[in-house]
Amino acid sequence: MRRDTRTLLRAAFATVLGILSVPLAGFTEARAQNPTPVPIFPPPGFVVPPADQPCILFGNKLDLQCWIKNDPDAARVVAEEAALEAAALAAAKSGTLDPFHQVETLGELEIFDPNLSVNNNIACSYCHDPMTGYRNGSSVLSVYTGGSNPGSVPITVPGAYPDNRIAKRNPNSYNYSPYFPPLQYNSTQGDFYGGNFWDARASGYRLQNSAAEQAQDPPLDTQEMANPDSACVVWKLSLSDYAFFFEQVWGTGSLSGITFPANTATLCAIPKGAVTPPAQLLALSPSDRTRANQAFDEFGQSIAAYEKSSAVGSFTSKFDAYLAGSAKLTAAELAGYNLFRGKATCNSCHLDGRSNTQASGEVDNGMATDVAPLFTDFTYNNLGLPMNLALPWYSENKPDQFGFTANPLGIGFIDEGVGLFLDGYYGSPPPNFSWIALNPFFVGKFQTSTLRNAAQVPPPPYPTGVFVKAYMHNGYLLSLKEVVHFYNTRDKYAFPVLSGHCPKGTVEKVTCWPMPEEQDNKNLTIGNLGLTNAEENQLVAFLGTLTDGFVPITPPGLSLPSVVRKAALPPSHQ
Amino acid sequence: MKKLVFVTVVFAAACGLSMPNRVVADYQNPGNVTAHRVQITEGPQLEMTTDSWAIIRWTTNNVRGTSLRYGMVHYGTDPHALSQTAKSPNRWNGALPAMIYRVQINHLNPGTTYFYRVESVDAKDISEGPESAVSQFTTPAAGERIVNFTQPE
Repeated sequence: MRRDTRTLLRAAFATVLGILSVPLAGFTEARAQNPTPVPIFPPPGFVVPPADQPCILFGNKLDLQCWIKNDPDAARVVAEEAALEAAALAAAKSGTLDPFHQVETLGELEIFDPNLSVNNNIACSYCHDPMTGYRNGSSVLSVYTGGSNPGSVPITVPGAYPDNRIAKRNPNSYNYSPYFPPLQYNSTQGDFYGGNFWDARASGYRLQNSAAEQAQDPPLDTQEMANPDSACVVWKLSLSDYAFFFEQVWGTGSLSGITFPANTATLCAIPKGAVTPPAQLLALSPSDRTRANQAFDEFGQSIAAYEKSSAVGSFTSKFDAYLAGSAKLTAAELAGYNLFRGKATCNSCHLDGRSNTQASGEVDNGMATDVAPLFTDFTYNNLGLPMNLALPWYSENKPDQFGFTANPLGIGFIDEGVGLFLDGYYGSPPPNFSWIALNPFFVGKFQTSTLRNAAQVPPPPYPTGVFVKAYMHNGYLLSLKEVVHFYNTRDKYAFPVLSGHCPKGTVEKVTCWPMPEEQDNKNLTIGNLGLTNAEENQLVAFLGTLTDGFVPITPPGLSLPSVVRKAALPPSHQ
Repeated sequence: MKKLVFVTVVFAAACGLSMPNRVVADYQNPGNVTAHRVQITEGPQLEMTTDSWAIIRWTTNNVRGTSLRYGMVHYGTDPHALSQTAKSPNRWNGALPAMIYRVQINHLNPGTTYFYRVESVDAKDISEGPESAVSQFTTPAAGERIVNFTQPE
């Protein structure tokens, strides 16, 4: 009831804004259908590359089909994944991999394989670029869609915006995600710990592996890879170049022992969510269905193994070297670190693993309690982020050519994070009946992500002038400086407006923060930290020490199999 | 030797007598997590207020217990009837000996004086110590805001 009321209020507010914006409407059909301009806030130095300029529609909307064909970052990501896929396939065929590297390499082959999507056009890595810490890899998307990536299915309805199915959130990082334990409610701490995804819905309850269950979700998500049936993913694996390797890892017959029906190719080409013709599950025999389910679990477990490998999370940052006594932080980095665990109170959630024996103002000389800190406590918080109206998700409220409507609530959608998961996502049964009563305490909360590799970006030069990385579940913040400034000033510069409507005399994201998307459970640990501009910059400098690769992965003098592969860069980036 | 034993016994008895009852109570009841000494060392004070919401801020020492904690503000327009409660989640930074609590109060009226007292509780809603005395603040006129915790430039 409460949600319904708020949805109505939000819809009414949006309608008023829409009416006020009508005079700004343009001349094309798309403009007429979507008159409200999207507020965007490109960081200083950002330019739209010439190749992307035709893709920018009136009102800062992005033609996703155009972006897919033209964006230089998209081309770089596709080139990276092709190179990594080829290298992994060569390693698989070499016959020299030990059991550890076999399962990790299989996961790598799966992550970088675009053929596992319904239209054979996007791999998992399309939204999880290794060059950005396995997050969104396109600066243009960061600015124009909150980092949300288009999925496998184009929308061909004339005049439709968006013109491709697209996810509702900024992709979270793979880095260190397998270290999140299966989701557990700790009644003493009154908190959830673990799980994957921004909203914890990859709980790991069945496989007892959150990362493996996370890997199983995007292939079946209507907005992402959109396969209509998990058995379709298995069928595609059985057709892949590395099917032999899958069976080498998981056993002879794990794929080839499944008999797929004659209409498999036809049914597996229909995107999930299609209502005309009705999407059907493949008619597998009970034993083949069981075997396909097992193979789908093994698919997820292989990906989790890759994500836990040193190729994805290697604990080789400058901070790791600092903990080991083999590197010194600069003055700015050290000042930032002291703020991190002191005045800025980041260490409340992004745990650094150091001892807590110091008094205020003292230097911590204690041993680290965790020499491989993950910079997360695995919990969930509502930071009070404003709605990011650049997310095309808010416009996905009309049926596509398959009769599927991704977001019937449109602008009335409120992303309640863990609350949505505990609720069962609008109509589905709750995942755990004993957690139903906890819902009010977790509405609006999202994962405390690791800070490791948060600062990682591809090497310059950038077609966009600067590389823009989107942060948080909705990609509203577009640099670590913005992130720190938000934590520092959220409450001081709070205004009861939507993004794009800050009062005259203020600057959004500088001296104005629009109202939170969800007020309930807003965390007050942050919001007015009293940091100076210089201190904000020191924190950003410290966050830069958390990027892997400072220490060589292979110790000098040791000869290990060369299985850690770096993405090949296009010539312009070399 | 007997003298040494006698002195030791007397010393031990004296120490025992001088031990606060709280320690004994803690030993007998390990579940008594509220017994440690917590004091409000700073505040509570009005951090900022607009015409419709306000943030109250205070600092406690000797924090223990759960990571997720809640600041609570009991408030109202009658100092003798603080009938409303605002509660905000805060997280304890284990690297620091003190903790700043901040609570946001919503749905206030402009130009109105509110009275309040504060307390803090852990994730199990167990109070960690004494409540504050009653303080007050007045919301500004419509469209204005008051910021007491200034941001350094």
